[in-house]
Amino acid sequence: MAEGLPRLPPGRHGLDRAFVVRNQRDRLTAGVIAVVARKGYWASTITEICAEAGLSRRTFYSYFGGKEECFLDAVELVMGYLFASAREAAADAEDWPSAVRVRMLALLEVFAANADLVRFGWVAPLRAGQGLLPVYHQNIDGILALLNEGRPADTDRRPPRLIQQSIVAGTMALLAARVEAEDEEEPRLTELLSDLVEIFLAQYLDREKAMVVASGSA
Amino acid sequence: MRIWDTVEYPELVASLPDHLSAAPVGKEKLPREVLTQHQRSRVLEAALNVFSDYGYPATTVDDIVAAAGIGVGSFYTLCDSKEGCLLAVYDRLIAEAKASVMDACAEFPVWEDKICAGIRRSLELVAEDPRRARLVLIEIQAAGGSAIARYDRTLAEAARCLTDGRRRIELSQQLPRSLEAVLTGCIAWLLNTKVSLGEAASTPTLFEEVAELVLEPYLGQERAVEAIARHAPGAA
Repeated sequence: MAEGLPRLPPGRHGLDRAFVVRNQRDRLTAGVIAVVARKGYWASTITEICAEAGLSRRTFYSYFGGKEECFLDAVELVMGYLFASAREAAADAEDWPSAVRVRMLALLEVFAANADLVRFGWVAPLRAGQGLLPVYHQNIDGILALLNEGRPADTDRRPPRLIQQSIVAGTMALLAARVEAEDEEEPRLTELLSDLVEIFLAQYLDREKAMVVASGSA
Repeated sequence: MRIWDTVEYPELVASLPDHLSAAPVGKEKLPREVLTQHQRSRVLEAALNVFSDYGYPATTVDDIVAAAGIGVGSFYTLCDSKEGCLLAVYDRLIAEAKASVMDACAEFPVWEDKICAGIRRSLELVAEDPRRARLVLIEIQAAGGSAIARYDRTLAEAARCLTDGRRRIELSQQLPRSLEAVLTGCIAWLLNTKVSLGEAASTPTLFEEVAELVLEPYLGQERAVEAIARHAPGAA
């Protein structure tokens, strides 16, 4: 996302205001993601977020009223980014099941490269006590919507929405566990692709069909 | 007349053995372990209430000792810390839940019937005591490393009950290796959702959907539905 952006020289510079804003906002987003992923929501402070972003508190407050606003803004940006990645990946998919496969691969690749995104969106809100649970559930819904985009109405089965959500939650829990278990190197998530596609699609399609798509031999 | 016939005591205290009621205060020395046990139970019961009402992060040791009616010094001889207290409550609740679920499964020799009975009993437990459910599903995850490790261990144990199915059923096809991990995550999320939405009382209505979710991969649609029908409310 915004990692690795160089620090702007302090003070005025001749850069276009919109560019500076985009740059600063991105860095705050990257900052809150990194700090919350590392310390959990409650223990994260604005000071730490600013330090991570290489920006002053004054700059922080020119964009956000507080930590919560910054956090929620970042959540929205992360979901938008995932949706965009998934859409781009599935642009040429032949049908919905194969779109699911490429979307799932895109997600796994993004998460493998940015394990903090998993911790930020699907671990930290679950461990912040009751207060952030709505954010967690919303993020689950987001992944479900991403995978379900373009699903035809006449699939073999039509599972209740609650069950669909639970499959996504179970999937994200598995990714979270993987990410936690291997926090030094890049976690090996893409090897889960076939399993996760089969588990997801088997809710809607006959298992044999789901297995064929999952294996990539469709 | 025993003292607790006149005063309203929490259940755990009122269930003390008789020898504690007979002794006039101060005249006899009670066994130290019995007193400690009694105090510990009182603290854990109070902690359960306070953790559930305020949430783990906001609860202080002062809140717990006030609710338990003991001194702070006593608290620290019984529990290491706020976290230690939560872990002790969690362990006790999980042990009780496990006993209840295993009891429900015991009468069934066939794997899928055990699973159905276990699922049904688990859903009932959530409905019966949403406060306990909140602690073991939600609050435990808000308490840092050791607490989360406990939670993960419980889920891993549940996953093993399912993995068992692979050896006990003649599977018609290969199952994804991650299946059990995802399924236990699914169920944990469903229970978490019901509790956090304040819908714990209707958790048992999820039985058929959850049982089908779990059994279909192992048994196929038809056999799964048959097994579930045997455990539906009103079934023989």
